[in-house]
Amino acid sequence: MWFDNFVALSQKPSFLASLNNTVVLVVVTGVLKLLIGLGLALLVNREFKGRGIVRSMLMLPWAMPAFVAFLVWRLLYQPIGGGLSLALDAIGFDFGVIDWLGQRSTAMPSVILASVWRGFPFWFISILAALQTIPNDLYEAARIDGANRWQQFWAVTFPGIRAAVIVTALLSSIWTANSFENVWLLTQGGPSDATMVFPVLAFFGMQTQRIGEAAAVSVATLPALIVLVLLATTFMQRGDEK
Amino acid sequence: MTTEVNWKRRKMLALSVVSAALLSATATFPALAAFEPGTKLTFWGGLIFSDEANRLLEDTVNKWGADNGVETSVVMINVNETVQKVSAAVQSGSMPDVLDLTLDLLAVLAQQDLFVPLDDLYGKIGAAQGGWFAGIDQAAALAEGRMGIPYGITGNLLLRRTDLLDAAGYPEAPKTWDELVEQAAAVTKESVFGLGLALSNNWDANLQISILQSYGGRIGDAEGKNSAIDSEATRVYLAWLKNAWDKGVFSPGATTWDGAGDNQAYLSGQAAFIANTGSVGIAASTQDPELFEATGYSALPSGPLSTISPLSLQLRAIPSTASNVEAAKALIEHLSQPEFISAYYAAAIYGPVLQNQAAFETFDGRNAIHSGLLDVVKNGTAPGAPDVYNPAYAEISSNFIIPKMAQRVVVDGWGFDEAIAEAHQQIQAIYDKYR
Amino acid sequence: MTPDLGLPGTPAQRPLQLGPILTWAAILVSLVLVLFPIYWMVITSLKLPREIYRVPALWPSTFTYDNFRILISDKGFLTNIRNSLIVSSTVTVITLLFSSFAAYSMVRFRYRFRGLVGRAILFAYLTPTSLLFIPLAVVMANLRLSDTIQGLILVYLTFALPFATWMLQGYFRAVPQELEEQAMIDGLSRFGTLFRIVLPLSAPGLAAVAIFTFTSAWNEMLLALVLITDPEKRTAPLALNYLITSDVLPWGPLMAGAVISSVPLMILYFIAQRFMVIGLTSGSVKG
Repeated sequence: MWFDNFVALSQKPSFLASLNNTVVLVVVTGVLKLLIGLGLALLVNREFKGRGIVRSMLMLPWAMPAFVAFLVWRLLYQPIGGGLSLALDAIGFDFGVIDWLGQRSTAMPSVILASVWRGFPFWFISILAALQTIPNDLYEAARIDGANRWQQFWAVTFPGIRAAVIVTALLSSIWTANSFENVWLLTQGGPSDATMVFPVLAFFGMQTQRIGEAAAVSVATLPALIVLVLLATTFMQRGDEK
Repeated sequence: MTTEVNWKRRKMLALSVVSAALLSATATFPALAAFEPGTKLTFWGGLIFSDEANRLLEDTVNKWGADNGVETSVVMINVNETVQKVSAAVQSGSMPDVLDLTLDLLAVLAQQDLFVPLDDLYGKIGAAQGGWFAGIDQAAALAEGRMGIPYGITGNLLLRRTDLLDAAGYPEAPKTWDELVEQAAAVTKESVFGLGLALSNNWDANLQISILQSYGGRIGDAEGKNSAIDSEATRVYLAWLKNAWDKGVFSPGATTWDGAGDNQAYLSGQAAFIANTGSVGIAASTQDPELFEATGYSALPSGPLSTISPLSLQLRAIPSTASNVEAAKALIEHLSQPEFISAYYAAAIYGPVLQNQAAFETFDGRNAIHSGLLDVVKNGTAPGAPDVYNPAYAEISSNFIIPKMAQRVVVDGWGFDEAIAEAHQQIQAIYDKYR
Repeated sequence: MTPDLGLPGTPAQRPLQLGPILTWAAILVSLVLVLFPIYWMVITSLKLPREIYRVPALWPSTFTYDNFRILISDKGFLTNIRNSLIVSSTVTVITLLFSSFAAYSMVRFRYRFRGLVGRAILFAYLTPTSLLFIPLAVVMANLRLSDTIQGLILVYLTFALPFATWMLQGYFRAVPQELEEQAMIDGLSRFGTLFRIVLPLSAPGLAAVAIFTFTSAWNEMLLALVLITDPEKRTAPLALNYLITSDVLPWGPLMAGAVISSVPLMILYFIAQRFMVIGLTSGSVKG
């Protein structure tokens, strides 16, 4: 029974596309969220006036239910009169009518952009919190040793936030691999199968109450996630032994 | 053969249930008005866009409860979320006593023996109100019997911008899909696109199935057991689609529209034609009178062979876990009475299901949307027809295999043979599962 | 010039720091990019339908508070906000307490199967909600907690606890073990060490976990949908979802609801980020 479900799954023509898209989505959004989250965390870690407000505002993409967030992006991506086109137009880039979500070349980047926007605050806040746990003395010591900024970052900052980054990367990858709203509300996996991912395929099965099949699809990424968990936990627990 | 047996069994069952009901009714006539003290009844009503209709339904159920000594609890469930809600409720044994749902969901769940057969009630209500419309009668017949009582239908009307089309010299609604493309091409310009038909992985895009069928194409064979997609008719349909696509008349975004995408484009004045159940007309009437005035309604165009305009049914059903089936039946019957349903139809956008309902003021022709829905009931086709509507067909629809075939051609640039071969393989795989 | 990486230190110690103008420029650009979709949400909430559809523009030509009025007085949205507040705060408080214990034990104690337990916690997290909602509904029905706020809290805890335990481990690890040993030599018990040394030193981490837990509970929709039936008990996201009753989206009220429901989160973020200050930790370490 279970085996049959998996066989049926691997025979779906969208299977390979889904596998490919899920990996791309997890890896690309993961890297972008890390870079943006880290960059912004370093930026607002310094003292300046209005820091509290700026920090809170940077977390706002997370302050709404996922379905609302992606509906807003649907409005922004409207080919005619969408917020994105209007904004680009206002700063001098008039591309005419662009079907951001509806053509193969821009569909996946558009889904990624919206997902990164929605997801980076999680990275931002966990890295910002981790930065605070690095004792100042370490920076002083590094400076006394004559380390420049880059060297300080790699010698002090990076080791200090490594554990938090691993956990964040792990949890965020799991979320992204299982995320449904972003793709469903923006493209339903389309056009054709350009953005098809496993959770959307599984949803099709749920509609006709074929729960066994839906389950098989939903856990298609499980082996990869398990490897990820094993790697991350080993990595972290090894850190303990030091 | 099996269907025949089912028929007989169903008739027998219906007869026995009807006679039992008659017997008990005559025997206990004085007590009929009320139920045992403390009878409770939970009703999950279908929450629709009209607050007025929702309130009316809720109030009517509660008043009925008060009059009959039944403690009613009404919860309006969002029709968009019924599938998830019901899936969980079935598994956790927390189904209500009466439930509003679509035929698609009912058909799937009825296979698992989750509902009480209602053949007696179905017959009784039909007999009292001039009989069910033929299309309804055919559509609501499941292999398991009458598992739900229809209370409304939806179907697609073709909405068109009469202002733009008149100016382009097309005062009449298009009669065929070819005419539709011709008219659409005539009004397509920089910011208005003629054809607002979805070509995405979404329910709206399953309109492509109807177009395919009106060109003579079929998803399955006459028994509904094998794929029949690989046909000359399918190629003619795809040629129509490719031609329209290459003319650039499809709205941008159509390949990823969700259920609201076409409506959004129309309300934004960016699409000259859309297929819609009437919700857009209602929205325009309150929000954008100018657009409302400039909107014409007509039946879906025809293909070279036929017109396919599927009815989609809303039904009330009684889960087999219901605590008091008699009370539940009495409530459903009460909700089919003209006093309530005529007011409900006036506020909602459902077409009628019973012949006598056609005489309601709502359907007298003054309101184009409501009369359009009456027209759909009279001339519409049963779900899936002319294909056989069975669980395999439902799964083929919910996996959007035909819209996907269409996208293979227009988005991915595949040849017809290649796209048909992929669709054929998927359709056959689904039919094989139900063998 | 070496880029400034936002490392702490007094200006005197940081001669290569970018000018404050450049810093502000970077902050402004980030804010504009991040907040543009929010801006779109806010102006949409202030528009009438016809304007949303027919006259898309970067600035609305007329403002209306109708959407907010519909939501608050017709739909009783504040009741939903109250429910969400109850659910999210309860989940957050319980999660912070229990995950602190769990994470501390996993970081500091050596016991059999510790590695296994740690991983098992995460494996439980791998299954998507879209699959879990049915079994969870069954469990809640068996516990007679269907359609109750308590049931919803319990279900959210099953997601929040493993997550928080893992996040906290990272922050607890950063607390120097010598400090704890010193405290125990000074006569503090294990609990005393946890509450007096580890937790205060991990304040930024606790604040982050509080933000995560509260936000996730605040935004969750699917589980609330299947577990809660009574309109009076609906949470804010569920109520917003119930606004979508046809294939014409009620953009105005929907966006107004998103704006209202983000206000409590905004306040929480503002308070919680105050704990993300370097002085808190380094000061304690030195003292």
